[in-house]
Order: sequence, then C-alpha cells, then structure tokens
Amino acid sequence: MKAIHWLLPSAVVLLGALMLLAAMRSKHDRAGEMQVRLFGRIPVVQAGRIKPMDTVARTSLMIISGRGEEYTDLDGQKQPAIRWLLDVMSSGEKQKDSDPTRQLKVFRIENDQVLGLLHLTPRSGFRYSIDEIMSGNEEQRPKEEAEESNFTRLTARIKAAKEKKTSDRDLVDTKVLELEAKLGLYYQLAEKQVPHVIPPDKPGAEWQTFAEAQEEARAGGATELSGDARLFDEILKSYAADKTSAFNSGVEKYLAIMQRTQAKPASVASFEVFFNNFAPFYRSVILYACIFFLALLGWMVFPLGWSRPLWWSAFALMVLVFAVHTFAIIARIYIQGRPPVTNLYSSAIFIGWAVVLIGIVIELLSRLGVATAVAAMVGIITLIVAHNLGNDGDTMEMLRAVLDTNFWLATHVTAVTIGYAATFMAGALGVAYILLGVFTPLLKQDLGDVYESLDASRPAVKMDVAKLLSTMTYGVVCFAMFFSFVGTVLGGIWADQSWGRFWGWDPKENGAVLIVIWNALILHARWGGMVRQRGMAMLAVGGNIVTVWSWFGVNMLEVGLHSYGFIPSAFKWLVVFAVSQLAIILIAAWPEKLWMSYKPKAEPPKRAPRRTEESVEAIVVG
Amino acid sequence: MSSTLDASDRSAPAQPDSMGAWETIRWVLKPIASLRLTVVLFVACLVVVFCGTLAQREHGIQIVVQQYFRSALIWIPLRHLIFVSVPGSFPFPGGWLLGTLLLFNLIAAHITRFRFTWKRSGILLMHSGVLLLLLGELVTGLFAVEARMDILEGSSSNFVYLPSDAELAIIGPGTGENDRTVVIPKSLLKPGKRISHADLPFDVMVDKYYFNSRLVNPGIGNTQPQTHTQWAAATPLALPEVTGADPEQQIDAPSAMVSLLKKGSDEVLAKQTLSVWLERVSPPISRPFSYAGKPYDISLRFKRVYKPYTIHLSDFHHEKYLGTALPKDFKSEVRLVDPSRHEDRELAIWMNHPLRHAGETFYQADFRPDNQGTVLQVVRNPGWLMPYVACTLVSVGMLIHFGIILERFLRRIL
Repeated sequence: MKAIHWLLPSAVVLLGALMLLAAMRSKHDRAGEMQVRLFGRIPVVQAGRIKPMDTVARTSLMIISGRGEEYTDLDGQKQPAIRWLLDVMSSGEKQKDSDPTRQLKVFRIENDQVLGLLHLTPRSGFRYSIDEIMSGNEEQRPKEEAEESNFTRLTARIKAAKEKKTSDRDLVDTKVLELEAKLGLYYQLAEKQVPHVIPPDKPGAEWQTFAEAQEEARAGGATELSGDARLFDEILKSYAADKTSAFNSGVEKYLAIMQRTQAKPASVASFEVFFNNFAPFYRSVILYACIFFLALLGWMVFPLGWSRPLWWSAFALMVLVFAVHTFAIIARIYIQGRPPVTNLYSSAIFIGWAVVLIGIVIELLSRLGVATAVAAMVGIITLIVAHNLGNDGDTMEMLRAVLDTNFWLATHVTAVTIGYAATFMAGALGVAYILLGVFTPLLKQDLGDVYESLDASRPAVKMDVAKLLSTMTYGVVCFAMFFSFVGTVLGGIWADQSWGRFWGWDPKENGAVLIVIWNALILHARWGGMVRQRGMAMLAVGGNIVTVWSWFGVNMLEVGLHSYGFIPSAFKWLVVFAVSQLAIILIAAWPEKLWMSYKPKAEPPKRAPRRTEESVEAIVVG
Repeated sequence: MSSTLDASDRSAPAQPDSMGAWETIRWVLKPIASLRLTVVLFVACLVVVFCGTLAQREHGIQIVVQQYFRSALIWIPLRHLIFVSVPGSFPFPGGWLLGTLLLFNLIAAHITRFRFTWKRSGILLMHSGVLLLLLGELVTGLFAVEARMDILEGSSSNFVYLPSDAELAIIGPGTGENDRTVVIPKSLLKPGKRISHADLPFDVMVDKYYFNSRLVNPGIGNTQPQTHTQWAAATPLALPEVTGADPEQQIDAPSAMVSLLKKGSDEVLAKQTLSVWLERVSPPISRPFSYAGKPYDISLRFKRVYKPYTIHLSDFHHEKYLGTALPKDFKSEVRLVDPSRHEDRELAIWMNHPLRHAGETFYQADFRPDNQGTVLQVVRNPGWLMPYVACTLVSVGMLIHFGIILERFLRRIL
C-alpha cells in the first residue's frame, strides 16, 4: 500500500512526459519527397513581424478555413498547412483552369444567406473551393439569374456592406466582409503581395514582397530576377513543376543563405516552427483534463482511503504540465521579444498559467486535491478560450504605437492579468466550496481526520474542510485585491505618461476598478462579519462574473482606447458563463439543511459545522 | 479573524451620558464608521461604475464622466440594467456623493477605532493612500484642463484649443491678436440669438447651430468635399452627438449658419456658413467680410487659449509596421521658445515620452491628415502627482497587511 503512494504518481508523470516528448519530436517529410516542411522554416515578414513561412501558412489557413494545422487535399488526404501555402504561392505558375489549388475546399462559409447568395448548398464542414465560390452550384442557380455571375453578385453585396457604418452592419454584412477578407488574403498570397519574403540586401533597406522584387527588377530594366528573389522564384517554379530534387536543393540553398545573412531571424523562425509543431497549449489542455479527473477520482474514492496516491498523481502531473505551460509562455516571449501579455489571446494563456501557479501553492498548503482540480479546470477553460481567440490568425500581432512599451506591458498588464487570475481562482474555490457542500458530505470532514486517514505523520489540524477552503479563498481574494489594485493604478500611471490623464473612466478602466471594488467589498464584508464561509463563497463566485465582464464584456461595447475589437460570438459565451455562475450562487443560497454536508441527520445532536462557524466568529470578534 | 479593524464593532454600544467629549464624538461617529455602510457604498459604486460604462454606448465619455462620476445625483435609465429598451429611470447617488460618503466613512472609522499598532500600520497606510486617491480624483475633476495643440510641419503654434468648447471669432482690422479679435463663447451661440458687441460695428445673429456636424457638398448625395472650392461651398449636415463607442470620431465638430446684421436694424449684410471643419482644411478657409471699408474675418473655431510660449514643429515622423497600416511610432521634433522663462530648446515628444513645461504636460496624441503635422495633448493637472503617492501608500500598506495575514495563516496551518 505504501509503494502505491509514489508508484502511481511516478507512472502518471512518466506517461505524461512520454506524451509530451512524442509531441516535441520534430516532423520531417520522408526522404526523397518534397521537403515542404523545410520550406516552412524560411523566415519572412508578415504584419510587421519576422516569422517562419510555416506560421504564415497556419495563420492564413486558420483565417480562411478555420483550421490552421492541416487541410484535406483533393485525394481526401490530410496535408500540413505549409503544402497549401506552397500550392497557393506557386499557383501563378499554372494555367488558371488547370490549377488544382482552385478546387481545394478550404474556404469556410457557414452563413446560409451568404451560401444562398453564392448558390451553394450547406455541407458538413462548410468548406468550399475558389471555383465553387466563383461559379456556384449550377443546380442551385435560379433560371432568371443565369446571366449574372457569382462574382458580380458577391462584389455588389460587399460594396453594399462596406458603405454601411460599422455599427449599422448586420450579420450577413459581417459575414460577407469576412469572406471578402478571406478571398483577399488568398489572392494576396497567390500574387505574392504577402508576405515580405525577400530580405533586405543592404543595411537600412526593408524586406520586400516577391511582387515588389519583381516590380523593381522590371523597373530597373532587368529581364530576370536576381539574388534571393531569383532563387525563391526557382523554388516555386520547381514546386509547381513537381521537380522534387530541384525544389529540395533550392530550399536548402535558400535556408543556408538565410542562416548566413539573417542569422537571428532564421534561428527564431526555426524555433517558432518547433513551437508550432509542439502545440504546447493543446497538449496542456489534454493533460489538465487528466489532472482534473485524477483529482476528482481522488475524492470519489475518499471513503476507501485511496485518495492520496491519486491526489499526488494529479499534483505531480500538474507540476509537469505547469512546466510545459511556463515553457510555452517563455517561448512566446522569446519569439515576440515582448512581455507575456500583449493581447486578449495571451491574457487568456497567462491567466491559466497564473491560476495553476496559485493552485500549486494552495495544494502544497492544503493537500486536499481541491486546489489541483480547480486550477486544472480553470487551466482548461482559459486555454480553450485562448484557442478560440486565436482563430483570427497570428496570435503574436504587433502592438500599436501607444502600447509599444515593454515596461508598462511588463508591469501594468501583467499585474492586472494576475489580478484577473487570482479573482478567478478565488471564484473557482468558491464554486468548489458550494458544489462540495451541496452535493457531497465532504465539507464538514474534519481536516485532522482527513489528513490522518491519508498520512498519519501529519500533525493534526483543528479545522474542517469548509474552514480550510474558506480560508484559502480569503487568502486568494487578498492576493487578487493587491494585484488588481496595483495593476489598475499602474495602468493609470501609464495613461498619465502617455496621454496625460491618470483616470479617464474609460470602459476598460471601469472594468478593472469593478474588480478592485468587488474584492474590497468581499474583504470588508468578511471583516465586518456580514458574510461567513458561505457568503464569502457566494461573493467569490460573483467575482467570476465581474472579472469576465472586465476581461471581455467591455471589449464588446466597442468603446475605449483599450478595445481589441468586437467579438459577437464571444458575447453568447459571456452570457452563458455569467448565468452559470449566477446559478451556482443561487444553489448556494439554498437553506443549509439542504446541503449534503450540513444535513442535520448526519450529526444531529452536535451540529459540528455550526460550532465551527461560531468558533470562527469568535476569532473574528476576539 | 484576520483583521482587528472592526474589533470594537461588536462590543455593546456605550452609554452617552457617562462619557466625556471624546467618547461622545466616537458615539456620534460610530454609525458613520460602520463597515456595513462601507459595503453598501461599495455596492453603490459598483452600480455607478457599471452604468457609467454602459452609458458610454450612447454618450461621449466626457458627458458620461460629468453625469455619472463627477456629480452628486444621477438618473440611471432602466434600460441599462435590464438590457431591454424600456422608458424610465431612477435616481442614484453620483460619483462625487459616493466618494464623499466613502471619505467620511473611512475617516470616521479611523477616528473611532484608532489605535496605532504595528498590526494596523498596513491598514492605516493603505487607507491614507485611498484617501489621497479619492482627493486626487477630486482635484483632477475640479482643476484639470485638457487641451490640444495642432502644429503643421514647419510651422509654429502659440495657442491650445479645447475640443469640447467652441467660439465664434471675428478678427477685425488692427494689430495684436487681442486688440482686434472679438470672441463670442459657445454659450451665446443659440439659434435666433442676436449678439451685439461694442467693438463690432455690426451685430451677429445665429440662424442655426450644429452641436456636431460634417460638411457635405450641397445637393449631390451628401458627399464629402474634396477640393478647396468644394470645402468653401459646403453646407453643414447635423450629426448625432459623438458617443464614447464611436471609434471613428472622437470629438464633436460644431458648425453654424450666421447672419451679419446692421446695428440697430434687421437689415442682413451677409450670411455665412461657419464650421470648425473649415479650420482643418489646408490652407484653412476663412470667411472674409468687409464693412464700412474695413476687412473682417469670421470663423467658428474650437475655443482657443493663447500661451506665452511658441512651439515649432521641425519634423514629424509617423512610422508604420512593414506591410500593415498599424502605427509603430509617432514622434514630433519640436523647438520650444518661451521668452517669459528664457527658454529656447529643441526636443522630441513621442509616445509615452511627454514634455513637461510650465505646469503643463505635452503628449503625442494624434496626427493631422496625410501626416502634415502633429496633434499634441496639452494637459494642466495640479493633482497629477497625487495618484503616484497614493499608489505607493496603498501598495505598501497592502503588502504589510496581507503579509501579516499570511504569516498568521501559515503559522496555523503548518
């Protein structure tokens, strides 16, 4: 029985580590085939950032098809995004009507009115090819419209949408403009106006797109391209002509030149390809889910006394995944040369990270598996949120001038984000308190008994689980209070430094101050004896709503210097989340005798939990 | 359990007749010092801040700040709270009232429960910081002035303008800016209002005043003027007041139609279309008017404040990220000449690097169309340092107080 206490955790960690190592292995194309993945390592500039071709491929495919990793080719095979990019970039080398790239079903159009406009029928996956978009499905086309091409109708509809003010646009307008953006990106890639692939040939010069290099050569009277542009051209031509060895040697030669002339960008780009393949956040979500279930299982088998190995396994695995999460954040800092939080996407990742860190500390103090489960759950949710925020393309976008300051990003933004994370953690502990109390008898377990049943060597603690959870929540609220306040005020100082207004009552500032006031309210209500354990759990859950409002809600108002843009589909989730938290608060408001942990018949004469609360009160008063 | 601030809250109320002056004060202050009141005020603050955020979908941020945060009483429309468009509103304490009550509550709490001990030093520090922060917001609300200064590349400016205020300026013959300019403030610019001034040989009658407007080519589908001639002939089109939610327009752009009347009669000498937009055309369009052989120049402009210093814009950079329209940096290379302070220096103002001069701070705020010049935000705020001090006090206070709590907790659990 003793052996399992370390055997199970070790086995679990080993399994997790093996899975991660397998994911880290870099992917290669088979020898003798086109080394398209090698092409993915070429550093280029897009949207102001040096990145590998692989990232351009993934983010572009993500924007166009909603899936960045891979696509389905004409034979029904899954192919990496980089192959699609090569197909698109080399499509100019082929005749338009014989170009198979135009038949790749990659454009995601899920709005049925837009599909109707293009005479297309909804299909599973909602992905269509350029040819389909341009000609439509013949059977769907009404007779009277036979003359008018899809292109004409689409252009007219786009024009109508563009003429409206942003606030007046309806869903179809937005979707039509989205399609326009997808088509625009596709043609920019096909015509090689994006990305900037040709590095500067002399100091002070800028990167050029292939189209610019061609234009410059033509303007200079040259009949042929020269230098890097010429080599790049040859690579695309040999890809289009299916000349494997010419393509491979071309790519190798090009990369060798890059490693010489653009040493730093080339090595960062190469690292970014590794990062893309590793997909650490995706792996982390899976492992966080395992952690959550391990910890939950620990509680389920509590009556049997088997909890400890399971909680330890969950905890050990969490430390491992936390290391991966940390690595991923540092990797992003290295690639981007920026502090961890620069946009909504990175804030979600960072909140998950900070919550897991707090969870680890609390678990070390409490050893109940609760902090592990709660932190893993928040980790899962935040990473899923981040994944959905990353659908717009590159998650490492450049920062507009006013945000271009590593000092304030590192201090204000990080502190505020830790404040969000801590408030969420307090809320999650509140949820755990309520759910454990209402639906299980565990809350009134005496901690001394719990620890004794697990580990006799631990000194007895005179507390029940409820008290410990509540104290933890309180501590986290204090932590949240500190970081949200300091972060908010640092934001004010930044604002004073950049536009001379310490406080402007801008929606994002208001959101931040709501969190500060909310945390202050919890603390004062507790200090004043207005709430005890249950009331604090309820208030902490309310903090989840306040934080999510500050984090996302205010961005949906389309106001303020901080706004990151309008995210309508996220609004639905915001409401779902808020309602779920309200529901938990309502559950908590049930009379205590309905709580499984406090059912009078469990211990009718003593009413032990009550007594505990009174003794808490005694401490508050005395 | 962890705070002693409320330690005396629960003790039985003392009898007023058996105590001295100090006890009487404490007895009076006790209800004001209640933590329950603190919590209630916090809830009220939450409501005001939340509604003040939602209100910015409909109104400009300045108006919301005045209505919700810098006021004693507000009327909150019901539709803000239930997200359904219904008429009706309810009264609620405004930001200033709540801030004052919080101040009283905080001070009373410290008077009635004052005991200076090491354990309470954190609370004292953080509360004095909060106090300072609230006062700082009050000072800012009362005394801060935010103005702007536009300078075209290669030219100079010696005045700032207030984008929230407009004025009608009539520049007459003479020398010196003040001698020859008659300025009519916005408060007098009301339709049907006739304005007489001793320095003017004619009267001004406001026919129409547009709070916010844009100029359009008359007759042709409200298109925006392109050429200088078109701008000169354009007519105003009323626009709704700018809301905080509109990312495309930041400030209201007023226009007016005025008639110039012969003094003491209703004879119309001329009719003019005026707009702040005309100031923005390059070169700016003025409305010359000649009367009794003397030239006058009439314009509607943002309220100006002339300064003893001049700022010359030598060079303006506006960098964008490669392959994007995303601004990377704005930078104004300027020369500051202030004879009153014997200053003449060259310097640069750019994002997050303001210039502080003569109690004012100059920030890189915006740029003129086509990068022809810079727009500086010029702020005078006597309380600008208060938040810095306040922040430090609160942070240190919290570190001490929460540190004490943590230490006590760790001792219990470990």
